[in-house]
Amino acid sequence: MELKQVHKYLDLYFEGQATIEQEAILMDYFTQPVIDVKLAQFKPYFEAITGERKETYNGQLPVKPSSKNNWRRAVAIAAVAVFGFFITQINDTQVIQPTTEELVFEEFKAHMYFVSQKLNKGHEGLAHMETFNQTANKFIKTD
Amino acid sequence: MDEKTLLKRILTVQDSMFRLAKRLLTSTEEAEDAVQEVITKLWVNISEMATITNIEGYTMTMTKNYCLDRLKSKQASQLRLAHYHHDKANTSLDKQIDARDAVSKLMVFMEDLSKQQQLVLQLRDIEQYDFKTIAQITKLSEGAVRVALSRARKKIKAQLIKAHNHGIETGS
Repeated sequence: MELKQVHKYLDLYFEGQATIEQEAILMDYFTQPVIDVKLAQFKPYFEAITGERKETYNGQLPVKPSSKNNWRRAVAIAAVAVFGFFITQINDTQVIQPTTEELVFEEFKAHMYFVSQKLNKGHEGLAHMETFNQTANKFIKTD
Repeated sequence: MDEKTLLKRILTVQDSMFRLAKRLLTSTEEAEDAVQEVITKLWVNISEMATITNIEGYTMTMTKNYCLDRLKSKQASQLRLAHYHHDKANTSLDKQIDARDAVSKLMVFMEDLSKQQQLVLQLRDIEQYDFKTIAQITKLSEGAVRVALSRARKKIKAQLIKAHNHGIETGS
């Protein structure tokens, strides 16, 4: 390698104008065991760079998560839960302030329920009468 | 994109991701966490990967963004401070040994550079990307990348010359 050329490439390098090929030539030059004394000051830096390039990732490599669906499901469940929570929140706030129409309707509903209960009671009583009639028919022949 | 293709791409880029993350976060553990986080994100978004032409650049951008976000968070900045002091103690004791340690030799040279200068220098000198790719990763213009790179290298040059002159004591 021409020393003149190395100097030229080095100048380009520090100006940020060197091409990748020229930078590669510089790397090769500076990683030689013996270099020109005038350039010795730059050697540690280029050596550090080549050392750094060799560093590899040794950590865990996440692969395609088999739990991908689980993950999505979890998100879906969380979304539904949050949604549900908000819905109940909304309902709660509505119950706190019922309109007069709603109040009247609730009152009416309560009355109707009361009437329905009473009617059911009467119906049950009639059911007894029906059984009585059937049993009585067994003994009393009208023919 | 199918799983095999993505896995192949990840395997080719994982070392670069790790080195970049380590440069920015200055910690092996933090960097490993960053790589894992980014790869997990890639798997989750595998269906969207088909539209991306330059997966390597895309992955490096994600790594860069993730690391910068980490640095912004308070927790990480405390971590960084802890590592910084730890590393400083190491280098003053023996600068030549332990390139494999928590901090690399290169970090000693890069200490005074801004994060952006470190980022650009890392992408160019270690990963040897062309300016177009670096611009894509850093979201800077190619011109800005060249300027940042030149400034970073000039700072390092000044540092090297200074260290050298101290060594031989010219008496000037």
